[in-house]
Amino acid sequence: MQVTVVVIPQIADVFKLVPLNKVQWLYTIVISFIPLIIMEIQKKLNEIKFGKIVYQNAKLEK
Amino acid sequence: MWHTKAINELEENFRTNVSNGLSENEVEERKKHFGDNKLADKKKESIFIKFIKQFNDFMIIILIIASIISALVAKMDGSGDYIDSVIIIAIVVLNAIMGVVQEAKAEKSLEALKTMTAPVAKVRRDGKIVSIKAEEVVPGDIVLLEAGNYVPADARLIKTSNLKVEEASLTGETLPVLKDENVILDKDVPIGDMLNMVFSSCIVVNGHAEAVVTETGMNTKVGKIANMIIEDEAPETPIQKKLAEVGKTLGIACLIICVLIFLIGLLKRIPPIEMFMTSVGLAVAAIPEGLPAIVTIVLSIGVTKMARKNSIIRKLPAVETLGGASVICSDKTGTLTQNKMQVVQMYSVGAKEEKILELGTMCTDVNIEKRAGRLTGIGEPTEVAIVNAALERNINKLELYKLKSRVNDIPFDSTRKMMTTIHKDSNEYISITKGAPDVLLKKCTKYFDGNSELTLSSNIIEKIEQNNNKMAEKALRVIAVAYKKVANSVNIKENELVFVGLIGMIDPPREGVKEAVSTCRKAGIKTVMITGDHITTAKAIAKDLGILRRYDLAITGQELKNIPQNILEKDIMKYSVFARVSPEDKVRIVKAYQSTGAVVAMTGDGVNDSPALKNANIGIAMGKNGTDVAKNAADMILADDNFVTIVEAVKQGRNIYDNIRKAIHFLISTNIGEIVTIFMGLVLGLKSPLLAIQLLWINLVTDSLPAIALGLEPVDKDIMNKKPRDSKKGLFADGLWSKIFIEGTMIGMLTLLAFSLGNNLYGVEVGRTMAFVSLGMLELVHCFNIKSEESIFKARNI
Repeated sequence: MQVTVVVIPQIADVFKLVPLNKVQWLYTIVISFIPLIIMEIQKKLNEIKFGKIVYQNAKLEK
Repeated sequence: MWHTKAINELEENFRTNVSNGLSENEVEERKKHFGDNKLADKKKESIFIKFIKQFNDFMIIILIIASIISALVAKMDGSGDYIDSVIIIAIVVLNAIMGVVQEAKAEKSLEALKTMTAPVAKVRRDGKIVSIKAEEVVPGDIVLLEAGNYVPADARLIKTSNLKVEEASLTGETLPVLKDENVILDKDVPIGDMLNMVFSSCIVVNGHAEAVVTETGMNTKVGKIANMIIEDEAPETPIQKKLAEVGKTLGIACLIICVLIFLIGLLKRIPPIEMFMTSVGLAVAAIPEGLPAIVTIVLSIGVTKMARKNSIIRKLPAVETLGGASVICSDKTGTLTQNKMQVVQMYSVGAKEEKILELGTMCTDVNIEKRAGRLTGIGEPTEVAIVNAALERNINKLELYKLKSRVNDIPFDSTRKMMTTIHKDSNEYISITKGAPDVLLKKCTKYFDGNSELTLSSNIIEKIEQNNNKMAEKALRVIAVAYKKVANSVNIKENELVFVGLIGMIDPPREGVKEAVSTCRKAGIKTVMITGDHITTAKAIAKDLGILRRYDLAITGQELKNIPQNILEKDIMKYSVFARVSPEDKVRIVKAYQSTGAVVAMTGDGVNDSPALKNANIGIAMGKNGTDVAKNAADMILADDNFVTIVEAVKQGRNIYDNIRKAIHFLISTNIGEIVTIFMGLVLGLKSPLLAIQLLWINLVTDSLPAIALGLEPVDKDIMNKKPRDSKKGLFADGLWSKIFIEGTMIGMLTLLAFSLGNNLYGVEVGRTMAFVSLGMLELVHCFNIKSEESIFKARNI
């Protein structure tokens, strides 16, 4: 829906938006996906640090 | 005035018949005339009123004012640019429509739940006893009452057996009143003394009765006390309360920031109207006013889903508590087991199993009916097990009775511990006796070896006793069968019997319970069996199901009484089985588990279980076998009385809690992202990175919908591999606040980066477009990040 607002000129005018060229789209997409990379690294680090968040049966039985 | 009338007068007045009740046609006519037997609901708001109410919000009012100011400015400066005003109004209206739709959805779910938990009444109609919804009762109906029932309407008693009714809801007197149908009273006696009447919403605590319904719905005594109407609105859950507080604090913080932004903008000589619109847009976009609504939607849709899986939530807060359950105390019979005895083993000294079953089935009081296309026994569970085992081998009691008709019997009594039936076989008589093996064996002098009757030697007796003990060790209920030929059908003595065999039976565990207990263990939940049954039986079933494991203890109610509460609290976690316990013991058990910090779910069905159900963190009543009182005291009702359903409900409860947290995480962090974008933009001396209408669009479309989607996420595959949530931990525990701030700041700074890049390279309009698209996409990516604690490339739901 967000993209639709930008690419349909009549709606874009209402929201005072302008069409983006390929390079501008590329910048936008790259910036938008930065958190994905950061979060994936963080999740991996968490997994290494704390292990998988699973309650071990063995702990219960003790 | 019905208390002044005799029963025959009532029959006349109500054109009813005490022994047959009303006819269906008569019922239909009376329904049309008297309406439903329910108290008038609160007047429902029309859609229009609901729509108008959506505008009764501080932020929405500010938006409308902003739109008016924008229109006035456009008119005054002669630009004629009314687009901002129109868009703001359009968004406000769209927001209101969405609000009404969401509210209606939540209301519909809760209504459906209310219907599911509606009380039922037993009435006699057309000579048959039928269970109907209490609201379908009409004046003149013959209603049947028993302990645990709510009285469905005001009624004049016509038959009672030790009937005691608690009328506290009308008289304030909690002591039950002993009723008597035979008294005829004066006109002016107070309600508390109307011994021949029962009143709607009162509770039958003892005995049973039949009564003619005299008044229904708003004409009942309780109906006349209009303000005593049953609570209609669902109470707020702890999460909802907490969120309302958090929302308020965040709202005030946002307003302060907006005023600050407005002032900074003025200092930087940005046109006041542009700054005003940006500040208003930001205030509306940033304040998470949608949070409580989303939580309500998630909760109401969640409980509807749970209801489809047989767990009916009566009190919304129970959903949150369920997710944190760490001890489940379950009844044995009917919940962990099938409540259906089955013959699993037989023993004889030569006699064929068919012979044991043939005699066993003849010596029962069971009726045989055809149900679902097959013959089945109806009666006392132990006898039904024998009759059904015989039917499986094509031995039909009724066919046998045709050949050997039953001419007399000596009924079972607990002193003799046996019963006898006498049958006429051609010209001779045969008596068949079945009962407790230890007693019956003493009455036997011979045994049947399959061909003939032989003397019962001490060796054979020892052999039979050994086998009886082996069966008992396996927690089987053992019945011995014997017979003897007699000269006539009267004055039969139960001695010198011929032993035929032993029948061992058990109430087997329900399907899936063993797996559910194992799932609980993995989920850090302790399963506890509480039963009125014998400890040997309880232990055997508990061992079989994995409830009683190495180092776990079983205890009887008698032993429990000798343990002081402080010692019990210290050792409670060692116990997994409580046998021969009374409903009163259940309260002690619940409190003892709670003293360790455990969140306790407790099942119950009887009137006396109510205190335990109320004391437990989650009281669970049985839908099939539970009394109305137990259901009313419970937080949740099990429609199928099955333990597996409790575990499924815990799973759903955990999921709902997790999803609400995810939705909150998403909404607040994205709101912070929006604030950071605008605030930092101004602080860094940039032009406003986003316009008011752009912010509003983001708020409406990219915030609410993903939040709802997160709230409705399916159950994570590892959800029952985690420990129960610590009940002391708050909603924002485990660093949720810091996560929200860090991630929100990251979203804001990256949006600003997109704006700066576009603004510096291509101009402010491209900059705003890039910021607008980036913010929307960043929020979407953020939504996927929140979905699971695992990598989004690995995360799979079940």
